[in-house]
Amino acid sequence: MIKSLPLVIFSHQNQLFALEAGFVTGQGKTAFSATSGLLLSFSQLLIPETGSRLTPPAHWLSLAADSSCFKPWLLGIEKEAELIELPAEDIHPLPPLLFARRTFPALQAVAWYQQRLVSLIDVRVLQDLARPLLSPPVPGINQVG
Amino acid sequence: MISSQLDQLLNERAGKDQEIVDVDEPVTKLVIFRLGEQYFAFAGASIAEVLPGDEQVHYLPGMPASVEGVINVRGDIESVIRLYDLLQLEGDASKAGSETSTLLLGKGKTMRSGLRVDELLDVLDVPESQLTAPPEALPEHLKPYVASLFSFNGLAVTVLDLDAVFAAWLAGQG
Repeated sequence: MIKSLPLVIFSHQNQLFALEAGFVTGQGKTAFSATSGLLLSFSQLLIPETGSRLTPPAHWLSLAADSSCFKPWLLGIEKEAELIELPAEDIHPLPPLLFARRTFPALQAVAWYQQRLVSLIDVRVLQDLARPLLSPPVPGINQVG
Repeated sequence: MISSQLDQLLNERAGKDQEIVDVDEPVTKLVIFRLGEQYFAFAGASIAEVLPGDEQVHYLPGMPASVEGVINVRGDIESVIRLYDLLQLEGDASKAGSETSTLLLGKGKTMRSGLRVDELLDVLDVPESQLTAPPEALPEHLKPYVASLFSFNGLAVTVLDLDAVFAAWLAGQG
């Protein structure tokens, strides 16, 4: 039985989000990024209509390779992420009504961390959401949106 | 003829017994509340708990506007939704933060959720004979959810079917 879960937690628009740590392979600052991968800001995936108009991300997370994604990409976030470990009892499935009506399909569960609510993101679904934004590739441009 | 006081007493007792039978007519417990300028009720059996309106509701991103957020009820996470849009009510949902607002923890057959109401009026047993079927003239958008109507202190109260409300909300209405 799983007693705790390692998570990579980050803040976006003053809300906390977390990814399973096993899916995150690295992080860095966008200013010093030497990668040729595309950068998609988290806000573009969370609210596609308005996300690209928000502040450009200052940090990035690299995610475990998705074989169906033809091009590597980085998840842009506002602030540096942290590695934490949450006890299993602090993690809850999304209530069924909310699961059915969520507008952000990658939202998978919720958790409590330092008395704040954390939205737990399914990285596999996040990659599905990213795929249409990565295609078609535009030569010479390394940021979408 | 001298009347028997015992007969009279027994007759009176029989009358009282009859009255008691009348009181025992089937009743339905209803939780009566206000949303905007209108009055509604849910069956008491479908409301698991009444929570204070100032219970901390945590905003959850990636949800439709009718979702206020989630609450922590003794370690369990419960959603909190508003019914203004579903019931096509006029008014500002931001009134949810008013002093009289309350959270009803609705428990349907398969779903449960917190429901923000503007004011809890009463929880009482209503004789079923006082409940009337919804009229034909009921607005079309309300017909799927309305179980019956009744009068409470001169107010017209619409009794809602919680399972129908949840089903419609799940289907994307509201």
